[in-house]
Amino acid sequence: MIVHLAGYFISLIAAAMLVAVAQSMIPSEKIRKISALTGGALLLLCVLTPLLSLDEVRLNIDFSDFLADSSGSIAQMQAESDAKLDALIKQKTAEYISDKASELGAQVSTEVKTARAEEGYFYPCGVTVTGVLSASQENELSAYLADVLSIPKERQVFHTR
Amino acid sequence: MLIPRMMIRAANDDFSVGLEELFNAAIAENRSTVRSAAALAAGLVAVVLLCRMVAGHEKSLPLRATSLVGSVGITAACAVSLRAMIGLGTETISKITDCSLLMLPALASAEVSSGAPGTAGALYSGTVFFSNLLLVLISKVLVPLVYLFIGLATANAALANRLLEAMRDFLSWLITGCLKTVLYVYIGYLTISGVISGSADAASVKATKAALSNTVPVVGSVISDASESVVAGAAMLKSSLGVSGMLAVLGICAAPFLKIAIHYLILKVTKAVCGTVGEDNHVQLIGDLSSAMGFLLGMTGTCALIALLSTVCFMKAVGA
Repeated sequence: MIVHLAGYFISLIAAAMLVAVAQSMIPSEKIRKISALTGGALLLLCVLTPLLSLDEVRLNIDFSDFLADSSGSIAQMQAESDAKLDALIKQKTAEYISDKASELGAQVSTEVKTARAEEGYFYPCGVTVTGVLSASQENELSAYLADVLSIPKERQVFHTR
Repeated sequence: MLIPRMMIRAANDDFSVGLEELFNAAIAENRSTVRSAAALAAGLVAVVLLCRMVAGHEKSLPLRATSLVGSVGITAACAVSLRAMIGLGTETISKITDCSLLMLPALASAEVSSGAPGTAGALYSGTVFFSNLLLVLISKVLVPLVYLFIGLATANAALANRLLEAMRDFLSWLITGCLKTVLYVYIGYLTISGVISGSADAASVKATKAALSNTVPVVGSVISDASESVVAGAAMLKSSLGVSGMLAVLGICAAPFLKIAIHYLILKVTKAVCGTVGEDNHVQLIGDLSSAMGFLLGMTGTCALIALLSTVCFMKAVGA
């Protein structure tokens, strides 16, 4: 439609210039008045004819040419941001667990699993602890995980060496 | 195009420092433009004076030779400058749009990480839409209309026809009206979408915070610390990206804008000078040619303003 619009204005201006040039070249005043009337009628035809022959195809503007696929892009950005946040939560939770294990005198490596709450935030829901732990250390750590980090015992996995 | 090392350095230092260095460089780049524009002005004054001298000896005819020759001579003298400025203007507009479209995904990504996906989506899609629409409108409609305006102004000066004068005024109104409409609609979109999406994002953040407060303290602390780290990082990224982006847009358009503005002002001054000695139609023609330069300034300014406004909106939008 935009290209048709430009063409419409160009044809209108061209017609106006032809009429004006024709009027200027006529020496006789009387004939100039007649030519002014004729030129005006011709110009009116130039203005109205394209408008009367408008159809849906010409009026249609294809907005997809101007729009980015923003919803898809934003969803992808949100997914990337969520992935970063999830990784940070896992890292911080693992640090908490490692610090507690160090307090108990054990050295462990931790793998944290997260889940997404209904409200949209991530929370730790499971853990795999690998290291050298005595039975009492394991029980104390397990109690800490259940009470402080709300990770139920059935979701705690200990691999002791 | 002004994106030299000093601009990158300036973006790291201070926005105001970067701005100052940009404009100093733009002024330095345009010293020869003043000389060439002054030479053009001298040529136009010479044509007007010559026509005035000859007009006194010419019989009164329906189509006066001095009007015709003078009008064509004035437009011919300006033709090279006009063509160069129109080319410069369209090239600058294209570069501003490309720069803006390159920056937007990074700004939108930082905005999403700040906890405002609704605002990011609305700003991103809106800015892309209006930037592309303006680019197509300018390249396919407004630039051809500027050429038509110049032709009409020349013909009107030569023939002194009321129809041509009316068409010229209509074109002038159409070009400025299109630019103003696009800008006003974009600002309206930013305002309305900012209110709606900002409220939705704020409500979502509030709901999440309320839910977090019900979790055990340590878990709540872990989650909120992690969220704050992501948001703080995104805020820093937005800030540095935004400043760099604004400096990039200003760097692209500073020198060309100044070049076109110099021609615009010189033609205005020439019109004022010729007004004392020249024929009315020739003086009016010089005024119309300066208006054509004004249209180019308007087009370039509108594109730059859309890019800058969107960057500022991304920077100002507050997340979690």
